[in-house]
Amino acid sequence: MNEKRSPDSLQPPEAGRPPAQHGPNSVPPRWSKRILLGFLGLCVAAVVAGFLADIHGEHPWEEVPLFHALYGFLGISGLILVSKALRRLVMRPEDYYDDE
Amino acid sequence: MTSSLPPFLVFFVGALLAAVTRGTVRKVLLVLVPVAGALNVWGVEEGYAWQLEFLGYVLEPVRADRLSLLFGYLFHLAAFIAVVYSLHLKKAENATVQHVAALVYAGSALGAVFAGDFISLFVFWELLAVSSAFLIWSRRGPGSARAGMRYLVVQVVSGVALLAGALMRVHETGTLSFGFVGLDGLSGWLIFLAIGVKAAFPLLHSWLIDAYPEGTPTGTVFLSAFTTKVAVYALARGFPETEILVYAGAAMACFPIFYAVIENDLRRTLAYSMINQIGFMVCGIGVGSALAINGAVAHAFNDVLFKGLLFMSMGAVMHMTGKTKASDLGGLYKTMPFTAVLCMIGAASISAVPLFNGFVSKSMIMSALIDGGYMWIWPVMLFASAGVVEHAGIKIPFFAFFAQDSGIRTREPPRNMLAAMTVAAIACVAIGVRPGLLYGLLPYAVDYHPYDASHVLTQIQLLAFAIGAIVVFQLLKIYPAEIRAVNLDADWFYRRAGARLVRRTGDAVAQAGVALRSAAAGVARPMYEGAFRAHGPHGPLARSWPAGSMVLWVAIMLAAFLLFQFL
Repeated sequence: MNEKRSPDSLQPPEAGRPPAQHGPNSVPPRWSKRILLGFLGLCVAAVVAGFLADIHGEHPWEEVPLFHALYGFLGISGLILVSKALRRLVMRPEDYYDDE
Repeated sequence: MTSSLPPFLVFFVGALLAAVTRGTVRKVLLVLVPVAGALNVWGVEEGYAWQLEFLGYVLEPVRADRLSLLFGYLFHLAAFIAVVYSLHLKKAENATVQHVAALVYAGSALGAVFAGDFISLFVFWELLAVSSAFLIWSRRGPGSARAGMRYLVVQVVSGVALLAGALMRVHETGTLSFGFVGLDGLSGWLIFLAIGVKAAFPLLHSWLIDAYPEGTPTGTVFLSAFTTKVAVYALARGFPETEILVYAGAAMACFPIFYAVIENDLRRTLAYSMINQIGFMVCGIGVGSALAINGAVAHAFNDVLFKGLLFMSMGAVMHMTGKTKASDLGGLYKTMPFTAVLCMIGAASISAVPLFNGFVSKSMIMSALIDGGYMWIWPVMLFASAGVVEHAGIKIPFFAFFAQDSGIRTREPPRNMLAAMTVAAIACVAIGVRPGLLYGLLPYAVDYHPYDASHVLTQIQLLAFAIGAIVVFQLLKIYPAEIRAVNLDADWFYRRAGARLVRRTGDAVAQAGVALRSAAAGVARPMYEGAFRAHGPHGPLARSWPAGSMVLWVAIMLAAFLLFQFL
């Protein structure tokens, strides 16, 4: 996970200052990889356990296999994309209210 | 009637003593106040009441039932944690003002949840507003001064609406007692609106986003615990099973999570997160069943703990580095490992990870939604639950403590801060592992078991794949970057549009005045000039006439008179 703060296309010119003193990832790549693999394992385990266990939902949508996993993934994807679009509408330079 | 003191009194006396003590004496006193208060309130039993007659009305400054007692215990725990967190304050940080204001604020919150009538409620409601504003002003920047003033104005307006609604209600019902209110009639709506401002209903919410991040590192911890939870209590008391609350709560749970994704200031992100969490409580109160109300107040209890913990961890970062913006932070786990771990416990709790306290209360609300037949609100709240993981579960700890190394090297915060965070973290885990600790205090008898295999598994699936989406977006580099910017919210309407409207109206009035004056001058000038021509220094009527010509004119008039007499 790197380049989190690379200027993206939505960045207004005011915000284009170079980031202060950002170095490389604070977590060594070796550890990043281990954490990611561990997390992947958790996802797989959650799915497998979901098939093995008897999932009895309360809501009709929960009849869909892996409903919660799909809903979580798609929900957050939508959330991130919509938020990026929201920036176009509401983002202003940091000193926008400074002349009050 | 027991021998207990009114709960608020302990704190008000404590505040008085804190104002006149210094140093270690005050520190001991500050810790003793919530402890003494807790021992006092432990002795308060259901049905405890203190009544007095005032102008023919019965006032009830203290009235205890299971609902108010739950909030009473909660506020003592919150005050204890926040007081310990603020023990290190020095004179330069406005310590006396902050300590005194904090105790008055906590006492007012206790007063409000034990107030049995609207007049007492109103008094504590306004005391909450005034005392808490000092926790914002104490940061002493121009931004905090203005934000504190905007905050105070909004809070006082809420109080005025409460008083107006209460007085109309007295006129209608003849009683001041604060019980179920409901939404029939203007009085009910005014009270609803007053509580809605404090609960940060959609469009009435922006004071919270505006002011909380402007508070001092320690002040914001107090702020996060009391005002909004008093509002949740008041809704649970006055408006249970009011359907509009279900939809208001759903809106509150959803819209802030979009803002939270793009907000750069991590304390402001937490403020958005607060509205999101209050949304769950408001929704539960709207459903109104025993399970839903239990879930709502249990979630309020847990929210004070985990949101307090998150605000404390960000306050610790701010105290040590002077920064709260994601774009300035990163890599702090190297020098603040304990704070990082405590922050992650708060993050796991708010995300409702099983074995942490958010899980045991949020799931009550979710089940109550289905039991109540709100089949379309349930998926909305499930989406909001997943959204919490994004901003509070991942973003807050990730950008402060991991992410890219900002190069900042600091130390762990003072020991009292670490101790306060540890207490909150232990409480989060304890309630998560042993929900019975909290369930035993709830207003209705509880028959709910959150730890059912299917429920735990589906929650883990939801959370894991929500985090998976964030990881994928990060790896593909389409995750929104942290940008130094402000995002417009509802406060724009009064900070920009309203200000512009006032300015334009002022300009228009001024211009109209100028035009009116010149029009009046257009009418008056010829008259004035005529009069000046006739009577001015050189006007014919101002000339001095020689006596001879006067005699001549008198003779002419006399002759004319005589002539007319003859005719």
